[in-house]
Amino acid sequence: MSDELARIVRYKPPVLKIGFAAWSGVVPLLTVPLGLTIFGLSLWTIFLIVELVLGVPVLDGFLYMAAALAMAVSVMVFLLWITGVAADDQIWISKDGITFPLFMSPYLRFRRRRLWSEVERIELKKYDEKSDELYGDIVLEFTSGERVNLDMSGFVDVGVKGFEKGELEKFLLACEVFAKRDAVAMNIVELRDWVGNASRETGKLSYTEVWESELTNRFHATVFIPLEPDSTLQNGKLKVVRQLAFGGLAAVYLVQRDGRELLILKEAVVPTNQDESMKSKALEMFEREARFLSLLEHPRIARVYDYFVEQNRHYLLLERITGRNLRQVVNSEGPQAEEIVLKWAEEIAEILVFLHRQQPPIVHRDLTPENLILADDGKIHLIDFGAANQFLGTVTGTVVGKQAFISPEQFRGKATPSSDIYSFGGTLYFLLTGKNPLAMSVMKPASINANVSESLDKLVSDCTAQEIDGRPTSAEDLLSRLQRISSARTQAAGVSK
Amino acid sequence: MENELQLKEDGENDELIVPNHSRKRMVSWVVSRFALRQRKFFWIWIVSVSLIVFFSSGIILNACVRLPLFLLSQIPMIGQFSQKFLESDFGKRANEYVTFMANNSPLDNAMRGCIDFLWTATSFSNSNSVFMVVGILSVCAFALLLFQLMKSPSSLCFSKAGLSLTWGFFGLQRAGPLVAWSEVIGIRLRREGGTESPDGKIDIVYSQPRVLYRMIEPANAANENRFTIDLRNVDRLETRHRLGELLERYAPPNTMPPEVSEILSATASNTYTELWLQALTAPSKRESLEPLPEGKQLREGMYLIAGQLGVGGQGTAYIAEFGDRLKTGSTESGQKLSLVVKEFVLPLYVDSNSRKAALRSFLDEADLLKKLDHERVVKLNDCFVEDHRGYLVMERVHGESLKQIVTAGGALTESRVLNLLSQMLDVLNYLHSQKPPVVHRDFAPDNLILGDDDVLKLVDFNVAQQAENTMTGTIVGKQSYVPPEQLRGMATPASDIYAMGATLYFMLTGLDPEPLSVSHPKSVAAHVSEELDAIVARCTQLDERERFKSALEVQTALESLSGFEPLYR
Repeated sequence: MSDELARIVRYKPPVLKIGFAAWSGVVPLLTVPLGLTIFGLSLWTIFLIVELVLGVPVLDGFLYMAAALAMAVSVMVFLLWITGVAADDQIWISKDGITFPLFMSPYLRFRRRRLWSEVERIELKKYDEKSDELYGDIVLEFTSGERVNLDMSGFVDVGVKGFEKGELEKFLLACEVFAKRDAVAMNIVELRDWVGNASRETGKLSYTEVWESELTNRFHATVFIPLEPDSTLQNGKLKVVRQLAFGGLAAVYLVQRDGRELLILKEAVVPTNQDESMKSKALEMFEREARFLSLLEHPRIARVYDYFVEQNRHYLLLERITGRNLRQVVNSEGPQAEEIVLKWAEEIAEILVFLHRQQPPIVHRDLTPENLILADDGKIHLIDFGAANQFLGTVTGTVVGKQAFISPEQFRGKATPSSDIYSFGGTLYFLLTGKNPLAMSVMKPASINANVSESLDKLVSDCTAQEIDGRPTSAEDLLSRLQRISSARTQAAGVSK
Repeated sequence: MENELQLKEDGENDELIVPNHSRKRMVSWVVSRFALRQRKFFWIWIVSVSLIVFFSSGIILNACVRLPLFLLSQIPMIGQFSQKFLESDFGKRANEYVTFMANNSPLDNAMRGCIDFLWTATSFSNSNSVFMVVGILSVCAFALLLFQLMKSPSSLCFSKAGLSLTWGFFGLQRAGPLVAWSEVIGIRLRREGGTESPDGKIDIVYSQPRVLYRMIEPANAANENRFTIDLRNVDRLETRHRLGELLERYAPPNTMPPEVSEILSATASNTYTELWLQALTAPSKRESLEPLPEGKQLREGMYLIAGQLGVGGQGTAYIAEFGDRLKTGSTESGQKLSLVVKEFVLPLYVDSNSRKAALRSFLDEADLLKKLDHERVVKLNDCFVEDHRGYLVMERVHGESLKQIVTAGGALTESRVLNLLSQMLDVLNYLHSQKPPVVHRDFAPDNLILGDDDVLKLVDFNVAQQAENTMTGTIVGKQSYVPPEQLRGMATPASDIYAMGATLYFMLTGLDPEPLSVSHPKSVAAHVSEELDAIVARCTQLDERERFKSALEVQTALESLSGFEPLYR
């Protein structure tokens, strides 16, 4: 890694590349006789000067000689210059601007150095618009009107490309990083990821996926090195297909078991220097809970298949449920109508009833819109227990979770079934208003969305009561209240008809 | 002198020849040096190119047509074909040429052959007078060109004695007259492109004129004698640092303005975006999947890992030393400085937006730390990315965190707490008086380290830089020290006051306070005075409006207490 303040990307269009190869063969043939000429002429000139000094009238001859010498030198310089210009294949990139190779000067009206602020547009012009393959020219437009085409692909079939391997990625990245935000066309970003992933068969993302806003914030710096795509666990039984999210001490992967079904793998890494007793206590709790969870069988709760430890990393293997999570649904379709929310709320409450009826009751601890999936069957499924968060929280002496949905008592470290009811209230608030609830506050969705009925508003504010006493007493209570609200609605609808 | 810069330290046999990293100098010399960079020489470029084209037409014809044809004719297979060429005008000439070459001794023939070669070429222009005029012109043009080349010094030499320009051609070095350091009357920075830009020109102004240098350096309005260093040509950080060091060491007192030192010592913030590129363009593969082993060198040997300090929720900390590459790392006595290197593993196999976001959050912490300069805030030395891991190099504070002290030794006495409190108020005052105020957000006993010199230092600004809008974000925090409004994503300086109150409770009682509650240390520890108990309670009010408004206000409230000595006035 170099300390230079600029990066160099090599680029030479395929045509020039071929031409240059030919030229490199010819130049020595030209320069060898020329060099000898210059040498000879220099001797001769000196000889003539001596004669001149001695008084021999050879001025005429001297001028001829000098001119010839100058000429020979000129030609030599010219040849070298041409070679130099053609040999220059460096695009210099710094945070201020971009300097193009010498041979591109004419296209840039001899201003090779351009500031990033001058770059109006960077896009990919495909050879074949309809083709999925991203071959074409990278077009840069400048505010002053010039246009530069960088022939990226060239004769790909015979291996002559404008950019060598790796260089293109560097160049595109630089464009993305430094150019004005709206200057970079989407297909450049797409191209960059395509180039970056070309060597890796896995880990590809579809672009609609990448650009969904909530997906861009899933990856943060970690303490450990996350499993790379294609790495395996449990003696090759599990293969990591893709990284889904990570940050700090935890990660989530999409894995494939025995080369067949796709599952979700949650990973937690225990920091080495934490209090040993705390660590073993947390571990014990987590293992117990994992065992409980793996016994749960409910059609709308993601199954916990396995819990294991490998190289001091703790793993939880979960069922993969396809569909959109409720945050995605609300983000793309806006706040939901009360009718739909009520239907979903009943489905969620049923799941809560099931969980809280277990002996001992299971507290989900992480009931958020992200963890509720509107599955392909049109029903709400619950994924991802907060057990892993709880585990890490205990180990590091911190609280881990989405604070907007955490009840005060869970924040204080004493989660009860009622904490799930609080999170449930927050989730309803989000579904009805499209806004996150304010942490540690009683929420009234009707204050934002006037269409919310009084009874539902009351239910949400009851659920988000700061004290346990103010909330519905149990999940059953919650469910029956929901059912009352919806039956009242259907009756009212019937009457109005 | 626009082009190269060499730093030399005479007398110590310690010569630093800076490799020339400017772009292919030999090749683009003529173009970039005389035309594109210096517009006034544009005409020379035009004239020389037109002359070259005019003259070379003959040679090119000869070289490209006659010679290949001759070579072709040497191949028996196409002998018949070449026979026809030999009968043509070109063919005859080529034949003569070959015959000539064949009949002479090798050296002689080479020389004369070349002259003959050229001669035939020049005979394109038949008029002698025109030829002479052009000849004279071209000689003049070349003389001028050569003069321009010769005139440009190749380097600026720094030595103990002073500064001098040096001209170097083909390995020969010739130094100009020396300007002693005592003659230097001022050093100035002319910025180019904003205060954040690493580009600019440094003028070194001296008193006694040197005729030779005056000829080279164009006079400015004030008619000063000066050397100009174009920073674009000092494009390696190492060289910049060296230049800064030398200037600081030798320049007469009061001549070195801070902005010059600043631009030359540019590290984290000036190379901020460079780090982006570095990180994003590194090979898309991790070199190592393991934590750093002891003895591992970072940044090409600049830092040496001496051991792991600990793994936290947000990064791994290592103890490190300056490696051998950077001699400046040693203190005057030659003792090695110890450092803390904090490591963050950056995402790799994900889309570029996510990679950028993760990198940004890492660089933001560095940026924030870089801006802060206070004896009670940990100092950032360096910041870089290597093998897809971000590193913050910080000073090492020898001592223990308040958490460790209290966990090991139990609750502290009130007078001890008051002493620490004055230090906490000092640092909070500093942070909150920044513009805009810096809210630390994680002002907990783990992040306050009491040095062996009894100076309390605040570390870990990881959470501090996070954007206000953390509503959707996953919170990772020590719940006892987080006030409600911070949970709602609306942290203000008063949030740090809450955390400070909770920290006081912890120090006085040895227990973490109940999260989201008003703390009364006296209820647990009887030795706490009423006044301090009231102050802690007011610091930890759940409604931020009922807390103290600022650290200064806490200080005023404390002044009535005996044993409290405020640090900040």
